[in-house]
Amino acid sequence: MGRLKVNKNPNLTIFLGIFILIMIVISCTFANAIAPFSPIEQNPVDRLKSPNLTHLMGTDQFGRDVFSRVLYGGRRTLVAALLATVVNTLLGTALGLIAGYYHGKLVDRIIMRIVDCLVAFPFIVLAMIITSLFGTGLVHLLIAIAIVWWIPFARLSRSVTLKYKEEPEILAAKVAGASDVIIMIRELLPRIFSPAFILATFKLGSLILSMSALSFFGLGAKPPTPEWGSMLSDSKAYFFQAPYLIIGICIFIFFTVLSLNLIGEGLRDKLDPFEIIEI
Amino acid sequence: MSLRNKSIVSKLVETGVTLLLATLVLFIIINLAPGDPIRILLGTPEVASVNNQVYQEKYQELREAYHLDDSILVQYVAWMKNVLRFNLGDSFYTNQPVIIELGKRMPATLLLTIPAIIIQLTLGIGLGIISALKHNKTIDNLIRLFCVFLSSLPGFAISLMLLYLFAVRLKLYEISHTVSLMRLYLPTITLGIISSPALIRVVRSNMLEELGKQYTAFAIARGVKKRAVIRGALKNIMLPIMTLAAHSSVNLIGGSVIIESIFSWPGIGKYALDSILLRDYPVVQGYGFLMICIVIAINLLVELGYIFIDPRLKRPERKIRWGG
Amino acid sequence: MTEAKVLNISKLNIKYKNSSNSSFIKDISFDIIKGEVITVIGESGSGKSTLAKALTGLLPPSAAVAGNLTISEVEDYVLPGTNTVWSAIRGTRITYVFQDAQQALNPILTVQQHFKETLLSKGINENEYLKISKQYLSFLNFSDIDRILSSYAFQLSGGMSQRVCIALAICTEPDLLIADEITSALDTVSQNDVIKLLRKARDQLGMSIMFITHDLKLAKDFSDRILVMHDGEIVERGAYQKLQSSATTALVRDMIGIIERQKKDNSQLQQISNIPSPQVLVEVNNIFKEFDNFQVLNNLSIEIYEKEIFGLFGESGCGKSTLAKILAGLQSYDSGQIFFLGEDFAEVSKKLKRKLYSKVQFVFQNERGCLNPRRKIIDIVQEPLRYLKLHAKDEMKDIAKKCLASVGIDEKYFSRRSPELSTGQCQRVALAKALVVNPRFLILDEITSALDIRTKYDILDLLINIFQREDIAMLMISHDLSALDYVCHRIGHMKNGKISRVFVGRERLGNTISDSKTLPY
Repeated sequence: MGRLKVNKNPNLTIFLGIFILIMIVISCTFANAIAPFSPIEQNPVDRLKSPNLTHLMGTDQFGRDVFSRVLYGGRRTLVAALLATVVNTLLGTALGLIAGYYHGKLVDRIIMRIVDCLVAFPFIVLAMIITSLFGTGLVHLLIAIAIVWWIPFARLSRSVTLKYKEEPEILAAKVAGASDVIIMIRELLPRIFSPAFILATFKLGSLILSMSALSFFGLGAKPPTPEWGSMLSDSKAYFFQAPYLIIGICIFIFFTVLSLNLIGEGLRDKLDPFEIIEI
Repeated sequence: MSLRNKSIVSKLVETGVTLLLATLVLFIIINLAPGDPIRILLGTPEVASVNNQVYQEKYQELREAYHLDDSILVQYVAWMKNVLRFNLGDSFYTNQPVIIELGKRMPATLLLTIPAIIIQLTLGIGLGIISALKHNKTIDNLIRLFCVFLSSLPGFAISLMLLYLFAVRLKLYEISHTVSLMRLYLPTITLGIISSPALIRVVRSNMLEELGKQYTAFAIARGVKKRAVIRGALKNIMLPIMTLAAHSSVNLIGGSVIIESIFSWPGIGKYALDSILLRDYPVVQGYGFLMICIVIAINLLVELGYIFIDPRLKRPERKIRWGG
Repeated sequence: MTEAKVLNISKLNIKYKNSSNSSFIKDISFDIIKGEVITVIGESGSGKSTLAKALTGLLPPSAAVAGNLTISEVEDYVLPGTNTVWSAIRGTRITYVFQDAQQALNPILTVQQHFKETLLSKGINENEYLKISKQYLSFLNFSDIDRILSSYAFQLSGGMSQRVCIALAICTEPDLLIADEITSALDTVSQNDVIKLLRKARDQLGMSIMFITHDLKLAKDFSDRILVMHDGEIVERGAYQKLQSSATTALVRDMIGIIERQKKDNSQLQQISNIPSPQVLVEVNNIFKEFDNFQVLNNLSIEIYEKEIFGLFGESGCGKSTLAKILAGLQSYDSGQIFFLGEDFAEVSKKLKRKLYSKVQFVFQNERGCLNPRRKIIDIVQEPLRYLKLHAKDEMKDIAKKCLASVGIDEKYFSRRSPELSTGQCQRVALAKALVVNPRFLILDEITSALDIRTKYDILDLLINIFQREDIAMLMISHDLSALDYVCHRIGHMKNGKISRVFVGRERLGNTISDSKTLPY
């Protein structure tokens, strides 16, 4: 590793992140071509084998190849997390923009009151309540996500809007006769875009982590669909016997989230560099 | 009324409104759930092995007792009245009042989370500030690397690895269900460490922003000693740090569910998770209510802290870098 | 006669790491003599602040500095110095005072705590620092010292905080005080105060002063020597008289020419009709506006006539920008009435209001910030036409072109974007954007304050030109009295949220206002 260049070269960080992410996305998308075994076919002879050359990540309790299952499972997890993040980013950004633009007015007070009230629910607790009442499963997990996950985006977009609202360029557009909607879309939204994008990369990562944690406790997707979360909860019982089951999935989760974090860090360093005097 | 008292009163009122709304949201979520809670409580006639007539009577009686045929607001008021009498219902499983069941497990959770919060705040604020002061130096890069790695690993995976390492390999940790100090150190430290990266990041960027401001440059330019310059910047990030710290403590409390169940620590988080799997709804609801109260209380404390610390009470809201 | 040199800098080169290869500061060498006031003058972006910051090691790490610094003829340092070197220099040898005093003070410390951290850092003990702070505050003509000591920055006015900053800078008795545009955020009266105090510090404490400004007029009488910077190089040096007689660069000749022309006071305003028509265009009655428990506008009333240029000046924070925003409909007001063309703003319907407001246009200080860097000039100027839908689509382009030509923008710039234009050109485009909808009332908020003196007078001449051509009234807000002097019919002085006095007629110019004694400060 020698010299650490995490932030001195944001481009390198971003490149590394994108590279890892693309590798993971490709291998999950083309799982049927890449995966050496079927993800669902059971093979009792080979059950709970440690990682070896044939089974890179070993086999599970039914003798299925963990590596193949991880590749297939990635699709579902990644698509669900991505979808949830996109929806929440759009929703949060729009609400934050409106709240910031009408700062102090009724609509701002209502939105911020909702934020204050939902902030009181730690995500895991909310997800637990919803999945316990409505039943476990990916859909209910996504509902829980939709309730609270837009809040950081709303906060961000509101504070960016407040920062730029009084800028001459915005006031100039107002004086020139632009309507509120035009100002929000043409002048303010482009400024929110990049910070919101950076936040979204971080949030996508932490969403994958939270979803996997909930699934691990049996609150996420249900077996037998190969999905990282459900695989985790299946493997829990065998942890002391076969820790590699969980390790294999965790390696994939780790690299996915790491790539997103690297992209986020790199982009932030690039767009928002700090210049301080050395003392 | 002085400005300060006025702010305190308005904060208290605001908090009260938030608490009411948040509990209302919780109540609505609970009521939207499919399934008839009374049937769940009584079981279906066949399962309950009682005469159908008796069952129906009992059913109606309970529906009325729980105001289930009234509007949701009336039900909420009735529920709130009970809550104010510390009545959160009884556990389906043990038939004990939920409040007692939760109260029994509260000490274990506090024993776990309070030291963990202390570890988290020390690490978060300490490393965040060091990282900002050593901006772009090796130590800053190491801390950032630490954050990136730690925040890319699932918390339960880290906990499992540590558990495996300490309990199975090193035999330094005993796996059981008891509360003892010897069993406390591992979950506490794990919880503190895995919740710290987010705080480190935001403290770092808030501190860097202060250090980049002109008053810092002016202090340096007129020869103020390094220590005093840093102290000046630190005083300014005190207030945002309080908010950020409260925010991270809340996240940590959420995260404690995971840690408690992995380390079999008999606190309220593990209890709630077990109750979900047992479909013990009153416990889950009571737990949700308790969590909301704790979070709102923490936020209120911070807001009040603001009022007492900030000399610029007249000033508009302070900007905090949230993204980190 | 050889005087003691406080500082000598030789072969200073500064390069920004992530920019192109050329140096930002190229081979600069000069020295500063004890007790001398040396002025570094240049347009924005000429590198004068970078030069000054390099002398105190205040540049960010992305700037690569090279050169030699000699202090008091004996201490030699190779730049960039280490932190140990700088901590020996800063405060004791050289101190730097910033432009924006409000930002330069720590918002959470009182003035007394500022003095404490400064003086204790220089080895003064706890018992003495208070005495020294009081001594320096009274040196800077503060009367209620105890109140100042317990104040926070936000409780001080712009001029007061700048004086506090100077007191903080000189209380460690440095040999050289670098004053970076310290007067440009202040109004003329506070400007004169600050200059007087700097002179006092020089005369009584024997301090050398390096004064950085873009305003030659300010530097002229105050400085012993002037260094003119352009594109990172010193293009002229010498006393004002020397520059006047032998300056060779066109830039410097222009600057001097303008000052001399102004002296003779042959401004074009005399050609403008002397008496404004008595027809009232804008009438403001008893406006109140409160922000965060602070009364920004306090029972303010003014009348602005048709065909008139009304000037407005006052300390920063006196509410002049708030008034401008209210008049342009960008901000609400708490109570009072505003009539425009006889219509009460509060009474008219929303639709009509928008139509009325299209007759009011606003030009901002930061002209570059108002122009979207991604759009072509010609499109930017068409924007108001599109928003207000005043013309058919195919006409818009022609109208915009005509308007741009009328503010002196050459056709070849029409399809360029704002980063390719000079500051002056940007200001012209901003004016064109405002004029394209044929407004009746134009509000100009500090539009000349970021410009160098040559461009400033170009823009002022353009304003007079527009005024003569169009049926328009203007409200011009500035802290630069010479600019107001140059174009305005009447000048209002704003204080504590109201107009405290209106100066009418030509005879006031250059006499009453510039002489601070007659002002109610």
